Amino acid sequence: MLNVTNLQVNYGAIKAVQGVDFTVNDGEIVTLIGANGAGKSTVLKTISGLLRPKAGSVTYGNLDLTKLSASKIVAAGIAQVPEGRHVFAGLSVMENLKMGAYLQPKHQADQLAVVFDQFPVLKERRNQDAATLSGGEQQMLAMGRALMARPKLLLLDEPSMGLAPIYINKIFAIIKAINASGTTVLLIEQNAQQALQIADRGYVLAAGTVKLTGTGTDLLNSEAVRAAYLGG
Amino acid sequence: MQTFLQQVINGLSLGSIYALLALGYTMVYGIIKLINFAHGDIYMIGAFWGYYVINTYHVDFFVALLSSMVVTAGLGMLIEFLAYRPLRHSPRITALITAIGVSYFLENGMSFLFGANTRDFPQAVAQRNYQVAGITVSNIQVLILVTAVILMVGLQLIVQKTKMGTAMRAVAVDPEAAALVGIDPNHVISFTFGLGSALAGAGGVLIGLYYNSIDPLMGMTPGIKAFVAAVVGGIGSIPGAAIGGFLIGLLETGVQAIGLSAYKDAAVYVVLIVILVILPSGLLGKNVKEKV
Repeated sequence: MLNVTNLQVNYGAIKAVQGVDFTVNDGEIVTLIGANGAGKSTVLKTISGLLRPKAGSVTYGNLDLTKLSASKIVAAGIAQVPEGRHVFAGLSVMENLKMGAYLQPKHQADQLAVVFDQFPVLKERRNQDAATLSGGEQQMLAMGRALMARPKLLLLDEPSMGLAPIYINKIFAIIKAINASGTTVLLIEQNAQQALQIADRGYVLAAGTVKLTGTGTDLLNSEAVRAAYLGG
Repeated sequence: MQTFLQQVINGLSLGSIYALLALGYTMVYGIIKLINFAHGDIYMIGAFWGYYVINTYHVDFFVALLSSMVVTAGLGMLIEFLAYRPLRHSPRITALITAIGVSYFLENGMSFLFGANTRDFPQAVAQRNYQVAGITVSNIQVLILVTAVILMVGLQLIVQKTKMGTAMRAVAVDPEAAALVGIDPNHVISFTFGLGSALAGAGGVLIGLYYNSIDPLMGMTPGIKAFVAAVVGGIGSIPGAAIGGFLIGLLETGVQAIGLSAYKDAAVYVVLIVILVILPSGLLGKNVKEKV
């Protein structure tokens, strides 16, 4: 479904990503884990068209994503939930969700029902300014907004960051549910333990390259991963 | 008291035109953080278009107003496309200097093509004065005020209720997240320029009717005053720009009324300085720290 080959991305003079390869197959949950600064977010932003690579390829089906605008990439069926949630402050919860369906006006009503079903709290708070939601609720809104675009591939950037433990469990359960309903998921996490528990496969990134790869269970049990990311 | 009320009426008429102009400044700034210094010249083009269609085709005021709004909307979008879009990823100062260049281009281009002389704006609406409780109100003042208020209410409905308006607010508050939901920033920016320029064009026709004279440099001073109005109201804030426009109009007529006509422009700039010192984010602006 998604193929990333020898991806290299620079931030000015900094080589943030230095030759990353991975694939995401239809129906999977794939996770990229690694410490802060490993280049995970940069990879995700390149897939969604916010950044352009210096070299390498990103293909989705037979589309070359490095040539498409962010808007065209959303239209092709890829939606990203950005790190730090980035809900539209000053817009109501409802307006945020409607903006998620910006390219899918015909499916707005149906998809809204699906999202409200998945996140009942958003329905309760639909007329509230998104900025007044708690962190966990904002994360749900950001996810709901991405789902409004009816993505085939959902990119999640650090969805558990800064959340209370009760919300973290909830968010991971919802990611599993979204995947079970037929959406492929690429998940970026610092919370390696929980990400690997729900993932089919994982890639460990460090210093802009892939250090290790395997199934979620393999990586959970790997000595190297345990030592580096799971606190022994 | 009568003099005071008279000046309030005059100030509101003038202020509603500043408000229409200030809205364009503030919307464009809200979306792409550009002070569009050519905005006052769009207003000049609006006035010239009104002059042209009324004289040539003898259309009535409303046709002149609406056609002028369509023409200036198109012009604003064209300027954005040709002059500002190629600089989207350049430093902000580059776009700012380009805006000043566009302003000179429009002023001198119009002088070159049609002459720099001042001309009389045709009286598409015959002026009538009414005495109400000792105050003189002209039908043109009422027309200006009512038209401006209708346009502002219409703008508010577009921004708050339509999909494109919601997308405008989304891009203004978080351009990156807006791109991630599939909003094409170019469409929204183009729409914003069109909307702001249409209001400026309407302001141009209204001022022609009010002051009876137009010339290619007529947009310079009102353009700067409307910019001050936008800053006073809090740049980026739509209700702020409307309030700022009315305040500047009232201030200017007030200063004239107390016999300091020669200082009416200076008074506006004093307000700008005072606002920048004591309330840098304006009356309704958000105090956002600039990221370096």
